[in-house]
Amino acid sequence: MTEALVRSFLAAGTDLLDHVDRALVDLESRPGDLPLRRQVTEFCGILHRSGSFLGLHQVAALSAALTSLVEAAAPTDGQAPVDPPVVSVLLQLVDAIRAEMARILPGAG
Amino acid sequence: MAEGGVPRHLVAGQWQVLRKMARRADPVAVLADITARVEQDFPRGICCVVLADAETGDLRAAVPGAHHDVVRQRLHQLACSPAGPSSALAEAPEAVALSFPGEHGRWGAWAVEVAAVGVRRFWTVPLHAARGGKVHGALTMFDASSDSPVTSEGTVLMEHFAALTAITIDFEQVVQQTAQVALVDTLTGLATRALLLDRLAQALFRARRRLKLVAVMFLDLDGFKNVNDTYGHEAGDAVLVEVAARVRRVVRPSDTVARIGGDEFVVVCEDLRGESDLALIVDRLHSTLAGAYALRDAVVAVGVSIGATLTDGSVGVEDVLHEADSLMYQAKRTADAGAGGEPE
Repeated sequence: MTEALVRSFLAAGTDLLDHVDRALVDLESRPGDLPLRRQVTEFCGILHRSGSFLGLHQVAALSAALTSLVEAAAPTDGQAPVDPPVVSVLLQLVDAIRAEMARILPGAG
Repeated sequence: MAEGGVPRHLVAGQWQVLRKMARRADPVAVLADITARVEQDFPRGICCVVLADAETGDLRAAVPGAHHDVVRQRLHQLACSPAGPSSALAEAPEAVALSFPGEHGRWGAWAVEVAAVGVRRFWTVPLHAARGGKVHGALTMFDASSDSPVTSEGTVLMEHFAALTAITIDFEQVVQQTAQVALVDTLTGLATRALLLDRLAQALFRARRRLKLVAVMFLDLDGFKNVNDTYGHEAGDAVLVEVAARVRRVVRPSDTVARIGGDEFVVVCEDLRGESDLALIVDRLHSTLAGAYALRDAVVAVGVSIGATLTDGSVGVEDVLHEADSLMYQAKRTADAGAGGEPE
């Protein structure tokens, strides 16, 4: 049953990463969009917490790094704009999480 | 954890949560904040607040997880399961701590499901209400860490956060009750003056927008003082409760009935077509309210003086109330002059 939960997490996690992907691109043009920033932080938090619970340590660690970087680059108080080069780095991290998920259970996502 | 007391980071977190409550943050957000703080102390743990339905005792997650948060959703199901230990906290309000795998007696079937999703340690701690010996629900922790079996340190930590969670829920209930008391007359269940002013302002606004008429009727009981003086305040209260019930039967559910003083009531009816509609309502109020009221030990009679006015919404709230009040006094003087007495 743990495997079933891992599969569900990977499927939902892939959707979450798609949302994060789009939201990060949107943040480039709408740096002051606070709900969007909060959504990115929340989705990264879900990946980190669920990954930790399921023992998917690489996913959890990368998601934690993504959460910290998003909070630093796009704080939810909306003070700082998000620079395109920073967004580019964040998107690479999203790709790394996606690759790690694909490695865990091929075809699950 | 610090020796001999609550760790410093918990105290700091506690103050931050209390500050959010004082600033009237969304209570669900405050509870989500508490669960996030608990999870900081359990790196592989997921925390849920579950609340018990006051009537059925059924449990539900107080902080609904996001749609995509499938792991949290699954743990919410397990936390709220009637087969799990949280469901028994109302009868035996003691913290329960379990390690998995293991033998868990009456929770056996539930424990198999919990262990199957990778949980190694579990706590559920009752949320004691400040008054009435009630239990709001439970703070639960599902921990996948296999470092050690359940520890008393973990239980102390959970009990600390459970106390904070219970205070948050108590506070929210008090705020809601206070708001309710300010808007609803506790004796009759009718609107208070505060709610009347708000409803009347909205009714006047709607009348202007829809080109309709609003009736405002000011009611004052005749002979009520005699009931109080002769039979006591308990009898007077019984009459007021009955008056409220009778007025409600005359008007539509959408109309507003308020008690704004001892024996003074105001009725607001919307969407009237003209004076004839108003006269019909006033006649019904007179015939329904005047007459006998059966008390426990006696039958008493009271009358009612009504001042009624129609408006198209072009006047202010206080103006229309003042006009209805003046008309009520005219009606009372006329009635008293006819009976040869002084106004009450």
